[in-house]
Amino acid sequence: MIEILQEYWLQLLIGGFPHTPLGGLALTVVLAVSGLVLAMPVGLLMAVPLRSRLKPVRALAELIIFYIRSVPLLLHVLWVYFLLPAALGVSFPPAITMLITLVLFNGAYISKIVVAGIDALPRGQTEAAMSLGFGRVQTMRFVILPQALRNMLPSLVSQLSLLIKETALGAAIGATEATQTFLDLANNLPGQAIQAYALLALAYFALCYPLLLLGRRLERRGRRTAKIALEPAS
Amino acid sequence: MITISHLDKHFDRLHVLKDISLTVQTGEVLVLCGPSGSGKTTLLRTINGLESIDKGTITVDGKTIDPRTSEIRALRQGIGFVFQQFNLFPHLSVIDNITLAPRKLKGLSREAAEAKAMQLLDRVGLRDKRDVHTDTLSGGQQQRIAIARALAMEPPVLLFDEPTSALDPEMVGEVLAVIRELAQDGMTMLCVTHEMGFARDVASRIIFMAEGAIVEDTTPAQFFTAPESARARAFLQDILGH
Repeated sequence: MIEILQEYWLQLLIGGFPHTPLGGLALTVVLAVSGLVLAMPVGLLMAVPLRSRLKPVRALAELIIFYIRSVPLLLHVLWVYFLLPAALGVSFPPAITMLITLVLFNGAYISKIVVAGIDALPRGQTEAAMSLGFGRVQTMRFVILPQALRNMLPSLVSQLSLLIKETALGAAIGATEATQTFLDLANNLPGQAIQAYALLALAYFALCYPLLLLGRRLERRGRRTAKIALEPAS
Repeated sequence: MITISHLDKHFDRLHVLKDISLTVQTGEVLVLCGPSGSGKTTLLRTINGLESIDKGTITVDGKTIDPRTSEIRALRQGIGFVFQQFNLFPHLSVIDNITLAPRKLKGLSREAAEAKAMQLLDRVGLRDKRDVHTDTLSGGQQQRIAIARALAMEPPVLLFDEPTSALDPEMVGEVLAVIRELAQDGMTMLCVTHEMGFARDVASRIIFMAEGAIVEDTTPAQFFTAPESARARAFLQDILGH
């Protein structure tokens, strides 16, 4: 395994960059990190129509999110890959296509986690905030979401570690991220495929494990501290 | 101060409030009592728009309460509400529970809001709990904090929904003592409670409800010594023992 690393570390790390678009582990990390950062707000946004007071809006949002969740990710990747350029007249690099798909797909799952987290809170929390004079949005922001997000942490962490692994599907549309790079390498090194796959597994573990630790830490901190710092009076 | 006229409300087919009319003057302390299911909590919750109504009108200080309008938020700032289950915000410390609304809704600075909150903590006797997490407090302490939180918005009216029903017996007294002091300070209050001793001492009026209607609206002296209706007599006998 050491020899593989010594020989091919640069290729595994960045693919054919700078002669080709960024690839390898670096692309996986870029996709994963930007996916994590974007999927959260998109998931929160997608949760808004799910909680709308208007029934048709709720029903439509439910339908769309159910559709997203019930179709394999690979199919979404291909849809976005072919459909987006056809619809918008511009074509995106494969990595961007992959990122858009990952964010929407995981956003759909996160929206359901958010709604479940909100619904799990006692009704009295909303009533207490409203009785003080807070509106719906302020009640969400100051009272409901801070509590719901903390309760959602374990589910969020597992969803986000799925996202990291899902970046592997980028291979299907030519985003040569880590999995594709390692597969190519294994093909070129007969007899060393197992070592190459083992390295790949280690790489994914190294990406997911810190997320798990961070989640645990946030959870503990949430339970321990008496004070969540409110931002200075706005 | 509060005028309720010809109020009607249904929960599906259940007629929970039947043609309720009631006027409350500034400084009055009303105790709402009656058997469970009589509609007293629902009536209280309509006054700050936590429950919608089917028919009739409610005005507080001349302004109509309607939960469907956006004015309701401003009106609720002037109507404090204390819940049976306290409903403190568990993600905030005691002081942040009290200062959240004044800071975000009235735009008070942290310093000003905290100074005011400390006065209120003094008033409910919990000055030393300022930075404590709410779930480390006893039920009685939580309810006193909830009262301080409601008072922080300086509402002219306070509504209490069975403020001692979720408490262990030994903690009832400390909460009632706080409410009693507010009454002595001239706060306008409506309180749903089963604490008849408290009602007798503190109330200026007793509203006895049964099956969604106001059956008696009278003074404590009258109510406890010579209730007019058979229903009230039966209720008092049940609750006070024989």
